Amino acid sequence: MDKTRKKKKHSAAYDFFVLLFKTKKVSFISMLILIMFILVAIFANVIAPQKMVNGTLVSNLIEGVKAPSLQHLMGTDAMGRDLLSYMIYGARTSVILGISCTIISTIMSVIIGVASAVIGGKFDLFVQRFVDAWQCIPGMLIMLILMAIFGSGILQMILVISIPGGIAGSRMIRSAAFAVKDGNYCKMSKMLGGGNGWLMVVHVIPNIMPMILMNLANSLGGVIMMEATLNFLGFGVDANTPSWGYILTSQGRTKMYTAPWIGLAPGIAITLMVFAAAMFGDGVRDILDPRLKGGMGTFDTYKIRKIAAKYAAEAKKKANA
Amino acid sequence: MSKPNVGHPTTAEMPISGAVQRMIDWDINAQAGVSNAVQEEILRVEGLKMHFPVTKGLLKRQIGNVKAVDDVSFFIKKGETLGIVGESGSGKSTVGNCIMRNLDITSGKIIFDGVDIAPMKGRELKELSKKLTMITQDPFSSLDPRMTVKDSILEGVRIHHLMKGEGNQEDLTKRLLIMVGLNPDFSDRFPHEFSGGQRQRISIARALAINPSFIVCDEIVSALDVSIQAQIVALMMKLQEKLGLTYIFIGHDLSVVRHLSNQVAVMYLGKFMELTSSDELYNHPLHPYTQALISAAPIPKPRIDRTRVRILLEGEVPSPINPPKGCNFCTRCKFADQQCKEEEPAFTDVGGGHMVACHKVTGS
Amino acid sequence: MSKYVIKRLLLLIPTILLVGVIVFSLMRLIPGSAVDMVVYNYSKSGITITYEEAEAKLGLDKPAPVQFVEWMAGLFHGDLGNCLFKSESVWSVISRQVPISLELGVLTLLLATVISIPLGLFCASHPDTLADNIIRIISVVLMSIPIFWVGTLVLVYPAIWWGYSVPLKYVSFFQDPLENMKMFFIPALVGAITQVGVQIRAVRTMTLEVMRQDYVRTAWAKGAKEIRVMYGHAFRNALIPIITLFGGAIAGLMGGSVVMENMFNIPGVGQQLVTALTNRDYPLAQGCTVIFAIFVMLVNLIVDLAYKWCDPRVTLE
Repeated sequence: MDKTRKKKKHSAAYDFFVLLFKTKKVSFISMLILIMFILVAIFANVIAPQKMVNGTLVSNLIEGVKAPSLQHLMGTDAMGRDLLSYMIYGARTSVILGISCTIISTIMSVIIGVASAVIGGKFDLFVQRFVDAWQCIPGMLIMLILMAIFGSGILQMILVISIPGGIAGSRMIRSAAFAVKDGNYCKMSKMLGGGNGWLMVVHVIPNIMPMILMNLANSLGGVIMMEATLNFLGFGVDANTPSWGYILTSQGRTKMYTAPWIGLAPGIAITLMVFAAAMFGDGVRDILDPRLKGGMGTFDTYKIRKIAAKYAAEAKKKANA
Repeated sequence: MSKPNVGHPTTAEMPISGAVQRMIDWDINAQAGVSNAVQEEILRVEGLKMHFPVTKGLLKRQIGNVKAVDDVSFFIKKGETLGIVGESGSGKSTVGNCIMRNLDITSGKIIFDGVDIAPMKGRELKELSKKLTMITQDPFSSLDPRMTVKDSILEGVRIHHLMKGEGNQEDLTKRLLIMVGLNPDFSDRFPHEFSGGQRQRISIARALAINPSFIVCDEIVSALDVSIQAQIVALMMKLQEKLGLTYIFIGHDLSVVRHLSNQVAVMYLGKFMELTSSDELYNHPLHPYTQALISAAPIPKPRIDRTRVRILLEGEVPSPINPPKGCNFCTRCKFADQQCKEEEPAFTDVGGGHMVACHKVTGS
Repeated sequence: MSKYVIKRLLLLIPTILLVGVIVFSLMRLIPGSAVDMVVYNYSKSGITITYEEAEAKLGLDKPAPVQFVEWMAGLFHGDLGNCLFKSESVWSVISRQVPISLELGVLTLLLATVISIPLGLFCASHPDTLADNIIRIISVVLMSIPIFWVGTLVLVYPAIWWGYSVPLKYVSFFQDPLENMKMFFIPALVGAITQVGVQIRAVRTMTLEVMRQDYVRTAWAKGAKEIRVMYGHAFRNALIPIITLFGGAIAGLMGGSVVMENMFNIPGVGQQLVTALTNRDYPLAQGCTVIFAIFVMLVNLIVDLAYKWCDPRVTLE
């Protein structure tokens, strides 16, 4: 055992979160908000006042719409379902989709980007042309077409959101992988007999981890927004699965005057979740982005200008006195 | 079981596993082998040419060649060192890369252990990488910053599945670290915690881990302080003696190359100008370029250094895309005449294995 | 320079081909065929035709690769084929609606830019102050608000509170500019909300990066006035990434217009695409998508050329 070494008490992840907490308070709070959403999603069945029966909330068409009251904290929707429960189960939908789409699309980006960079040659050329062409087609259109192909449903939505995201993100990963691949240690690895696969897994991916994590954090916000948009357009989950976007489109619009809470709650929820994801992603990027480390001076003229102005004012006062 | 004493004080405390025992036996045999066996050729290069195409335009038409290595031939005996010196751009690193098969050569033969390795691909090449390794110049970028020292050293072992078992691998790592002169407890540290010289030692350990017979050293000491250079050179020589390794040592510092090499080749613009034993080269340099190089090397005795005559090279440096028709060196050589400018001199033996490519020397 | 432009235009061709392949294959993957729709529609009006006849009518009886080649060949001649379910050519439908989507996109971008650039520059010149942090958080909030929600709110509440309803009948710009503007203003504003959030952050980051460079510090040390330093040096150099952003924004707006057009009843290309997809109107859907893609490629080219104009250091290869 190396006794001269200080015992490393904490892993890198712990250090990261401590740094996040200390330097970027808003990011840290956003992370807590996201965790709150995740917990709500996990414990939906426990928290929701009205539980799901057979995968759907029981509608109570007789009672219909009711304003917020002690019994129904957020009121009910047009089908008599408790809105709070609907929102909680909707959180579950959003969280499931958000996490799975983010992870799948990042995995796709990594596979495409790293393989393209390491294998190089004609393979790289072809893949790059394909990614270029793909990016020329506006994202919304691709998703519409994909939705038309796959149909609606959670699994299908996962595919529809992940695939374009994965292809688009491969650009950044590929350029990061290139920077690593040309390093001397990769050449040495090849000389030792390492093939492309070895290079990718052992050298390239560990060295681009910061980029990968950044990719993960940044895509979360977009994914959640996409999910809401697709549900809004009616191309998302089926009518029985609770989803924020869906209730906004099916009832929020029509009932805005009579029952504004139906229209307001999902909108606020979506905004909050995307906001938290975006702020968290920002914090992660600020800490992890290798391009921001070093090189960029931290000289800020503003602070100095303020100080200079203060001294000038004082000098003036002295001169006038 | 009694532990054989191989001359390292710390190994006495370490338990020896089977794999390490094999390595010790290998050491002993190598020692015996080197002293008794007849020196046989391990590498023979014939007519090596490496031309890089120069392209222009949208369709990448080839408009010329960079003749990085132009018709180079030599051989090396097992257990010996060939030093290659030359200025930057002379093609010496390219020779190393060609031998290591990092590049696909334009033409020529590279016969290693009796087999022409120039056309090898795929699986054969992977087998070859166990016998042939390279150490490069930059100690800072040649080690993966995210891998521990142990992982870096064992990389070759893991790629070729040479050794199974955590314990065995741990043994091997520690033994290698001792062999290159580092503290074996450092195997869990990261490269950025070491100095340049130490990192080169780690690179050497990594090269040795797969039990090669041939190592190409491409300017391995050029990036280090002079005192560290001396240590690394000494280490390389000791390893060569103990393990029976064969080296190609590429460098531009004449004194270092002289110390380490049996034979030295002087390279200029892709061609060998002179090739002979190191003592002969320094005592009786025949080629004008070699003479100029040697006169430029500083002598650590100021009085002598001040009084000796320096040969200064004047004239235009030709481009490797368009080398002169005759001798490559004719534009800067003060002995050059019409024949030198028109006819390329052949690389001939002028006696006792001393090869020179110069009309004036061979009298042709 | 002109050589570069020609080279780039030539390079567009393989990309267009690839886009065509992607779009064509995707379309054909959609389950449910147009032929069935045609047979169904015909049968509703009392005529029964066989599957093969319907296929021949639609020109779908030839094998797929042949169809693709014919389509591509037509594309390069400017002929996109005829709609399956309308009696006009694809091109005439698209050419009617592209200007509308374009107008919406351009207005949105303009509104967003006018708001975001001054704010972004302000943030960059007063970094880490309270105002800066507030604006930053607000811009992230703006980015997070779902535009369909805002659109809904905008449609409903002004009507309730002030009796103002957004004009929902499309009037062309050339017919009546004022009506046209009145109609486009609200959707553009709503669409700009997200864009403003993104742009403020981008302008701030790019300008900050530039301002931390040495030459800006020198200019300030020389005694140049605040405004001159900001606009003369910092902003100009930050222009390049901002221009990229514009290019990307236009592309995104074209795609995102689907939602806006859906809500505000604007007959743009996005709407058209949705109906075409539902009807499995292959030529129309393909045509829309390909035109979009070509438009994006051209925008990228213009952006690259603008780079060269803005930054003499950039070399075009």
